[in-house]
Amino acid sequence: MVNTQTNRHGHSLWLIQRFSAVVMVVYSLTVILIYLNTPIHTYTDWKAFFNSTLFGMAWLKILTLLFLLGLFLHAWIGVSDVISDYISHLKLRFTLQKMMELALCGYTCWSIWVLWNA
Amino acid sequence: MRISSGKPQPNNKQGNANKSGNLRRKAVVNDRPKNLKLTTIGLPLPALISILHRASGVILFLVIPCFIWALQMSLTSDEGYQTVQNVMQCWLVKLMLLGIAWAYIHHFLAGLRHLAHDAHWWEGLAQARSTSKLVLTLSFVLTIIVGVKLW
Repeated sequence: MVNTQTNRHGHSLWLIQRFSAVVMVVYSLTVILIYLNTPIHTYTDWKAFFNSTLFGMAWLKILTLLFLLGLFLHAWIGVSDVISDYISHLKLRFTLQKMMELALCGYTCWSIWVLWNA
Repeated sequence: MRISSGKPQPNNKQGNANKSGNLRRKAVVNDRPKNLKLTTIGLPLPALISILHRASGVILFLVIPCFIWALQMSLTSDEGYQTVQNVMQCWLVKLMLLGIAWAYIHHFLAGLRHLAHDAHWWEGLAQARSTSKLVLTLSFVLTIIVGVKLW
């Protein structure tokens, strides 16, 4: 796994990959358990569940935002590794890498917008 | 092995480093096996887990926009919520969701196994094999449970 563009920050990338993984594990287990114990049948139920608060904070929205940011960082590092492992043509590798990064930046803005308006 | 070069080699540290660099590069280019018969090489169970971890990761990356779309639709209006519900009734979509669920569960469990390896747990060959079996079995069982919930 040689990432030609980012090999100078290998250690911090390694840490981000693990840290975001742990964040996603905790989120997945917690939210699935709570979701399974919440009766949701209609749009109103779903919206209320998503906006439910704890100590005045929309905890599910905040956790979902954390999860998504972790997911995008995790995907960025993971897909970079895959691209640099299998695409040896340098121009194609560079193009795919930039397309992937652009997509993830777009997803970040899009999901923040979705959560903000939910 | 000696590389004969027309240029005179400078007799300092820099020059020697370059020379060995050239040697190494030449060796890499010339000695690579060219007809690697992939079908004759067995894939050990831990290697299968590893490549499936990678494949499932790529699948999950590709389906990210579908889920943000579904989240947006289901949260913006009642009609949008109904649309997502209707889309999820289609058997093809259910089948794809089942595949994605498998990818998520496998990536999740194989990832936990990798985290355990980072902490130097279960590093022996026997343990690597048994935890591989555990990951495969558990992800299969959990995927079946998701399938039952879906249908």
